[in-house]
Amino acid sequence: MASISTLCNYNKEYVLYYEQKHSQNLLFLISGLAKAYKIDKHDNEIFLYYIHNNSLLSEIEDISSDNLYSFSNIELIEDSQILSVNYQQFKKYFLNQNLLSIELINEIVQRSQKLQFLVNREFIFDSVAKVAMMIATDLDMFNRLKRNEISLQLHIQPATLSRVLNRLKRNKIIDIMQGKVTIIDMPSLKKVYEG
Amino acid sequence: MTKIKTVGALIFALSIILALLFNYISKQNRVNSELLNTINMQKAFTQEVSKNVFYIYKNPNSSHKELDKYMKKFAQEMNTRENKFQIISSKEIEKQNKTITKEWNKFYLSVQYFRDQSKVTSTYSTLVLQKTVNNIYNKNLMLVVNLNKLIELHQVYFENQLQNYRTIQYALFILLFLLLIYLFTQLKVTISFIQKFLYTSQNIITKSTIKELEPIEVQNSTSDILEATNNFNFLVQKINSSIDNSATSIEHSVKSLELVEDNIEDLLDLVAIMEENSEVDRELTKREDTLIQSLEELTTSAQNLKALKEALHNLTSHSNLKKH
Repeated sequence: MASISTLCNYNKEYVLYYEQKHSQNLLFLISGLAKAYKIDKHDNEIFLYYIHNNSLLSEIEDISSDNLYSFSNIELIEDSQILSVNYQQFKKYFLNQNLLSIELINEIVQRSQKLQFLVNREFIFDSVAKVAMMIATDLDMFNRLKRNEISLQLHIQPATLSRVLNRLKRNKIIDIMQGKVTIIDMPSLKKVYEG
Repeated sequence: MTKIKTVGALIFALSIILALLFNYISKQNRVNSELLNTINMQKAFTQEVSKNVFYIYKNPNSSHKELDKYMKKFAQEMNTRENKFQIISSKEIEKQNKTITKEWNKFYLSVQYFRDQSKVTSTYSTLVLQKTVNNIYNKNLMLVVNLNKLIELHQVYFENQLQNYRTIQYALFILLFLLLIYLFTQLKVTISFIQKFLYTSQNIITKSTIKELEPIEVQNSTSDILEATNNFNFLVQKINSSIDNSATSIEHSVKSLELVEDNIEDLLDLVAIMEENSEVDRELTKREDTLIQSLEELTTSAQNLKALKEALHNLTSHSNLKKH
């Protein structure tokens, strides 16, 4: 593996992949944080999901191809360490020998789960459920980001985010101290988006 | 457009007439050369006949073959010459031709006399022959002089004809030139309109936008171009006014949405007050969530409509600029 890989450090805001481009290296995020997003026709950034450390960054579209195709843009939002593996050699020495296949499938399943979250967030959930799910599943990130950034990621108005937080606080599900959210009643919070 | 068609037809007709005229002049040149050639050949034949007569006179035993040959050739040229001169309509040339024919007949008769007399040998034959030879010499001179006169007459006639054709040619050329200038001035306006129209159409097609769609301005144009320009400008005006109307409608819709938003916000405040004073009512919370979502959608819709209005405003930037 060492002979076909390189370990690289990147600063935050570095764009690893541009959407609809081909690549020959399989990227794995060892440490740091990245986000996947697309750009709409009005040049607006449409946030898709976060990619946390120890996760696959690349997207595998066609298992029979020696090239990787990027569905979305991937940008680092923290200084990160990335393992870059020659995909053609990786296929030859590992996947075709049934080595690391389960691990790769696991990464693909995790990516699939992220996409399920995305579908729920964009097509199923209302504003209250979107906010509740983010607080329940990624409270650290929620508290790290500004309110404006959260509303952009969830595709809701800042005023709506404020109303939802007030509603959850009034119902004693969360508490807000100096702008930081804490969860008081996790079952009730999950009930908001799980129904 | 009718003017352009008429001028085009005239240019076409003039071009054909000029081509025919060129062809006719070149044909005339050829005929002239042939006629001159015939006259010069006849001159040469009479000279040859005279030379032979002298030769036979000096050498009575010599052959008459050469003499007969040139006589025959001259006679042949006389026959073909008649046809060639038919296309020339000049009385002087006709008169001169007749003179030459008479002179030739006399000359021919004298040569025939000479032939007959040269065969008879008597005491007076030498004297008679000398007289006939002198006669032939004089007639030959007359014939040559008349043939030269015919050449001169023909040259004058041909020069005159050529001058007439040249005048017609120059007149036709000037007319053609003037028509072309007129056509160019007419086409300049049309081409300018077409270029502007094509540029605008191309812009709309390539950029897939009607932004900067400007009315076409034309000056000193024909009625057809003016009509086409007016039609195009009417279309531009219609598009711009439609967009303006849409923008106004959107503005009204946004105001209505903002009013509804205010009402829902009031309702939400009311729900919040109700909840503060009682236990968590699940049904009330559900309705509050619905109201929050409705408000979110209304705000998003209002924002989208504002963005749409802005986009429409940008599309009609040209007409808006003019209004300011």
